Amino acid sequence: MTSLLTCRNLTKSFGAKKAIDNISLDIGRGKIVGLLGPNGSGKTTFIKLCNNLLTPTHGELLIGGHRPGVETKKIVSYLPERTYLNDWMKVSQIIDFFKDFYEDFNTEKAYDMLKRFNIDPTDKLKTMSKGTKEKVQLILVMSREAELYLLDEPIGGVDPAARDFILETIISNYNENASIIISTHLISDIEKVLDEVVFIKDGQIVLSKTVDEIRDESGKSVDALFREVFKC
Amino acid sequence: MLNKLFKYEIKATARIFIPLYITLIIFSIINKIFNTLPVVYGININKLTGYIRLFIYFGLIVGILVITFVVQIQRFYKSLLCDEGYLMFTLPVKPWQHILSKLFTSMIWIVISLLSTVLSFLIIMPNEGFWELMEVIPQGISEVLRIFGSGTFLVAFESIIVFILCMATGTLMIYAAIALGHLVKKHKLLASFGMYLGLNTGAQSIMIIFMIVAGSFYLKDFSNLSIYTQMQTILLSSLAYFSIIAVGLFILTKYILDNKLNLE
Amino acid sequence: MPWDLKPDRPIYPQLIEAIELKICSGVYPPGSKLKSVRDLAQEAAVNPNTMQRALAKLEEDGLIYTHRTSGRFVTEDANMVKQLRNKIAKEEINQLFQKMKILGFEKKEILDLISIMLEESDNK
Repeated sequence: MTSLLTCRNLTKSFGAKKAIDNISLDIGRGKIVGLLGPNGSGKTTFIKLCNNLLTPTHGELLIGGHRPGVETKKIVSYLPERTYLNDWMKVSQIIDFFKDFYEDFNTEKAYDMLKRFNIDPTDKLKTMSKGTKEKVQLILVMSREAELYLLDEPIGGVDPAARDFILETIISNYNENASIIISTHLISDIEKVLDEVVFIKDGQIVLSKTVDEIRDESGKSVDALFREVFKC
Repeated sequence: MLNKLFKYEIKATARIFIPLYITLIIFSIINKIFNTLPVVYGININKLTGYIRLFIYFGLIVGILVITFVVQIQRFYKSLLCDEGYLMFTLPVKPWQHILSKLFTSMIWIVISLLSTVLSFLIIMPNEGFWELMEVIPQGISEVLRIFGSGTFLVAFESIIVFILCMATGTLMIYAAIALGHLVKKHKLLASFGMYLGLNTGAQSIMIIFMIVAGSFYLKDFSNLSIYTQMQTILLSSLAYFSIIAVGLFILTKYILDNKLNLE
Repeated sequence: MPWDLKPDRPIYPQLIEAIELKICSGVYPPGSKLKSVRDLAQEAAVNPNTMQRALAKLEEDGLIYTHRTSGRFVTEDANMVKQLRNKIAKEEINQLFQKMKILGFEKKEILDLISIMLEESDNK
């Protein structure tokens, strides 16, 4: 059983600063992993490295046995923090776009989720509020039957009802072959959904355990432990 | 994948260009109608509105040419190096395919912009001028055939290739400048502009070197050669020049997008 | 019955307790069919792997069994359920006793207080 994501001695420097400092990590299939750390800890840099949006300075990163590139992009579904939708398309057009480029895109699922969120497919992306655009993005990402989902702050700017729906979607999308990495600050909302948790600080991994291990060993929730570890 | 990118690129840009072309052609037709209006009740509408119409007409032409240029920049910068880049660069597509799809699309619009400009001229020009032109063109063609003989088609073909490469080089220079500007932390647009000037200067320096080298082969005998050979010399060296510059700019841009990408 | 999961205790044992409670209280009657792991996980808003492990443990204990094609079912052994019910009740009562002891209650005091409160709750 090979792990889905492996990195060994992974380092990414920007000039003199090491945003990712000698990280080694193994993530198996069928896991929901939380990547937790304060702003600037390297979470987003790590995710960008996984997506080939940045190239490593040193070390190795493999997803499904391949270095990040065209082959991994086919099996990785990425939700960035920012809205990346273009402004001239309608919702139905961006769905067609995803269907065109990604073999694993499930159009039915996408339209289903749009309906549940009350989003009209004939609406123009340009006219939508930021919150609605974020929902559309989430729908596009979760409608792919990918092997690795990378969600960067998926529940950040969303209202509580939508937040619950997002967590439900994450759970219902679960399959033993795929894994999800969620990078977030809002730990208490999602910790019950996570298998494992990785704390990252200044580009280094400071902790990598299962949620229950943490709760058992420390007698605290992951959220509480996080606040302790990352006290200012 | 390249086809798909190309398709979407055309879709994204057609929404801007098609209305412009239609406006230009319609306005040309309107202009033509105005030009041939009779004087009614002593009011010469033709003369009265003449300056305004001329102004609008040239405004449209200049507008189309400017927009064709600006859209090239916008499609590369906004679509790849701003927020939308997160979408584009996570598609299972290699960066060079992005470059080519945008390049081909730009070139197509440049050609269509030029053609529509020519078409609008033909529509607007007074009827006598039009028929004169229709006579002159075949005369010009037979003259060219006389000069170049059987080599005419080769020369014509090479000229077209040179024209295409020249367009490609222009667009690739914009892309390379933007990509180079992306490497800088602050004032990226300003840096891109500076890079563009730098690249332009570099390309021109290379051109001068080319001319010196090519010239030194034929310098003494150039005027003694047949016109055909002279033309071939110029065309082939232009071909070589633009190919080298275009490929160099492409490789530079590709390298930056492959290895130095850093979206904010 | 909502899934009441406390944040400072491991989730896995809490899931086991919650399901045991649902079985003993009749929310999942003996012989009834359980929802799929995914549906249960969604309901409880927990990780499906953790839910799966909890169900596996309960199966090991005999409270749940899997029918290969039809899914998971609660045991039909009413006696086993009754025993579990008693076990849970005893644990609760033990906890009560410990607290009362700390407060300094005697055995008779405890009994009297319980009787009074039971009567009061009858009258409501």
